[in-house]
Amino acid sequence: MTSVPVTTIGGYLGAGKTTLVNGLLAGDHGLRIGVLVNDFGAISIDEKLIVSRDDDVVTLANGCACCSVAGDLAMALDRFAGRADRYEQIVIEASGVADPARIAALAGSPGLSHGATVVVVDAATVRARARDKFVGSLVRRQLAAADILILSKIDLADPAGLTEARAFATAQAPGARMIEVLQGRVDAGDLFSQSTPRRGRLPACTSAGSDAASALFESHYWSSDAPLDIEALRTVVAGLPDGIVRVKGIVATGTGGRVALHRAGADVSIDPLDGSPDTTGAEIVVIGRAGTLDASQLDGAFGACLLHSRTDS
Amino acid sequence: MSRITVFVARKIRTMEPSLPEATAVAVREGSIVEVGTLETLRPWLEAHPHTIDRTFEKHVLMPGFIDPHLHPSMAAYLLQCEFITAMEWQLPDRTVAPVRTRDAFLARLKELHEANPDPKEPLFTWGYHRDWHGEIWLQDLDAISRTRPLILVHRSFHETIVNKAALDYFELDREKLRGAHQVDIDRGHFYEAGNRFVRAKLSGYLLSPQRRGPAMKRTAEVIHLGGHTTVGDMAFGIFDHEAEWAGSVAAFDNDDTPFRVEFVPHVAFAGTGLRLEQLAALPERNRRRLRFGKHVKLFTDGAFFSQLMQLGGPGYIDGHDGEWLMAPEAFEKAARALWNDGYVIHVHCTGDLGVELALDVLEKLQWERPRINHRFTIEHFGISTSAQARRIADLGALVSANPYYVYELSDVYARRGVGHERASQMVRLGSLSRNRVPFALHSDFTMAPARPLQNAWIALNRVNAAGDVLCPRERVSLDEALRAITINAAYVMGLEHEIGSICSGKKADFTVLEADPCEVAPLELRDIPIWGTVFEGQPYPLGKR
Repeated sequence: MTSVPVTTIGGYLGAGKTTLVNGLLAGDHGLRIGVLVNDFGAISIDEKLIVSRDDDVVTLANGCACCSVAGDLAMALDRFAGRADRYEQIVIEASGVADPARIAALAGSPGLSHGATVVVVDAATVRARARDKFVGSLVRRQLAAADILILSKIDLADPAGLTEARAFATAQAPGARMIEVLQGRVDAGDLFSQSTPRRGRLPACTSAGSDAASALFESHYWSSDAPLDIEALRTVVAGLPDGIVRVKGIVATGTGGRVALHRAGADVSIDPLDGSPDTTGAEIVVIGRAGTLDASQLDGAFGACLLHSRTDS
Repeated sequence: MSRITVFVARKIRTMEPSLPEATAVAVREGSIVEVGTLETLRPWLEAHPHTIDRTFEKHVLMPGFIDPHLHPSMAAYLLQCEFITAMEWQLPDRTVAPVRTRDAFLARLKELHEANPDPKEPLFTWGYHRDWHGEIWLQDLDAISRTRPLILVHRSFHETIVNKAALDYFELDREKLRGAHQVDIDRGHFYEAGNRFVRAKLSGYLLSPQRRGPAMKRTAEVIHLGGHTTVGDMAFGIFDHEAEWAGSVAAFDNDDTPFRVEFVPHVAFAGTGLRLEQLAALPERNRRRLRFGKHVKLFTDGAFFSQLMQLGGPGYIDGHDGEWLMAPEAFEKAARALWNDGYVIHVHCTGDLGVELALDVLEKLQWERPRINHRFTIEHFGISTSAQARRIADLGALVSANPYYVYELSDVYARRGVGHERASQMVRLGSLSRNRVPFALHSDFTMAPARPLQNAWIALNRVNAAGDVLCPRERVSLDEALRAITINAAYVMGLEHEIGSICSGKKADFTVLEADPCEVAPLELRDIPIWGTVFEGQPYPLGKR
């Protein structure tokens, strides 16, 4: 009997583990994945996709299945291991206060083998959490256990913060591969690939795969001191290539007001903001799939929307 | 109206400051009519038919002892094991003498085996600990028996060591388990995560319906033996609330039971435990002996016996980290919902960082929505700081402490754990006293013996198992120690109007002692023999149930 690899998904409360799990359960990846989840209630399963429910295991149309840990993780894993022939991959969603290394060690059971330890990191809050008097040491320990770091909520971190979060997480888990995601979207192949190095076997100071090129997404920040022509801006943002997944900004208009700019997918919205403006210019963040962002082209397009010439973008 | 029964005693220690001593107490229909002397009781006795009961003429009555924090459902498992322990344990049918060497452990095991060498009956022992008993593996057990299953359950419950016969009996497949994480199959050793392979089999055996019932009966005997008339089940629902309720009803809801159980539900917002919306209906189940109040249990940090409490700086000597049982944000969210709904919150806190989290959240909740008389209670109170003792007072919180940590663990934790300063000051009751914080004592049975007099003895003397006195400045007075197992324990449970002292109108619950705690030497407090108890006016002598 071949052993089934067990991938552990760790990370602190609210980092985005469940979102990632939801993505795996609903994904069109062709893999039969058995997922042990912490809190069944948090999982969003489309009822139409459920094929069967038995022994607390919910089986889905894409061959995946989901089972609640309900107290004793090790016992739940054994129940799953007993059905291991049905799965090509087992995923454990660790509790937010667990040390993922300890959870991953449970894969040392009959019929199972060690997959990667994946740690989800909230880009917006990780540094504050790592300094917290109650959970600081836990959060640092979680990061240190990672073979793969998933930097989540990158649209919620400001650009400087994102850069710092990236550097911080990399420093805590040198050699771990980093993947940046929006809305928990991650390619299942990236998590389960047999070539993912387990850090425990890597020589020290290896940075295999942690360079920016392996990131799924990248972002670009643009600002100005002067207001923009809103209709021109709308045209520019609507015309950005498909690889751009998110644009957001706050922009001063020529008439003394401010607007919030959003593009999610192909939808562009520009809405007036209340209150007195605290900026006379604009700040815009563009997030796109790796390789789709052309910084100089973006700078040129946004610059062309300026109402006055005194820009220092 | 029924007849009044007047119990005459050599001395009644009422734990009522207004009338601390008496010699007679009149009881009718389970409640106290009046306490005083036969002379002061006369107006009642002249007006109503009565019987003078002189059974306790040579005894001392105290309010029925209260342990606000133990776990009857867990005890059913433990009490099916033979005890071979480094500490003395008193059980209904025997007193287990301490066993503190490897040779003595193996000799005792052999003796137990030979006393009833039925090869079909597995022999379970509990209490093995490497610090005292050295290394014992499958081969050592096989030398005692190759045919009878022998099972050593570790003192912490986190490890099991078995012989070959046990591997076969419980169908533990040697080849399949070879190399499994935290299993050393050749030495018959299952530990931490690996312990699950054997625990599942043992639970199935020990908690089978035909074994569980008698085991719960033994739990009742242990509770009676300690002199309790009220205990708190301080985490109802931690395994399966319906099974626990059914087990408690079957075992305790009858006139053979000389105590009541106050259930405090373990509340969880995910995973095990009860959900907030399930709590409100629980009191509808209340019966005379089994009751729910408006109290709930939450957790912050890990187990004290496993050194998983969360410590602030400088942490543990070996640098390991403690654990959070709930994420701090999840704890805060749960506490806020319960606080705003008017519940009394009991929080399991073992290390000073766990206490800090509970107090930080309490302070926030007080700021958001002030409550007076909220009785927020820190449970266990292993490691803390003197600053926290003061802050507990500032915030109006209470403490229910487990003093047995001092007795069993202070010596070991000083050497291998947290160092002498913090180990000697664990369970700092003296600091609570100086800050006028009301505190109760509990056993957390099965973590420690359910013996209130022993807990009061530890609080009074702070003598550990090695015979050393630990931090005399954290000792408390005899009166405080006795209040902590009676009226203050009632206060922590929100039941001080009903139980905890002997006065007119309260339940007629008494613990009957063979000597006066105020007359014996402080070091003899724990050795006072207990005659038995009176529960709601009905005498229950020990050993005659």
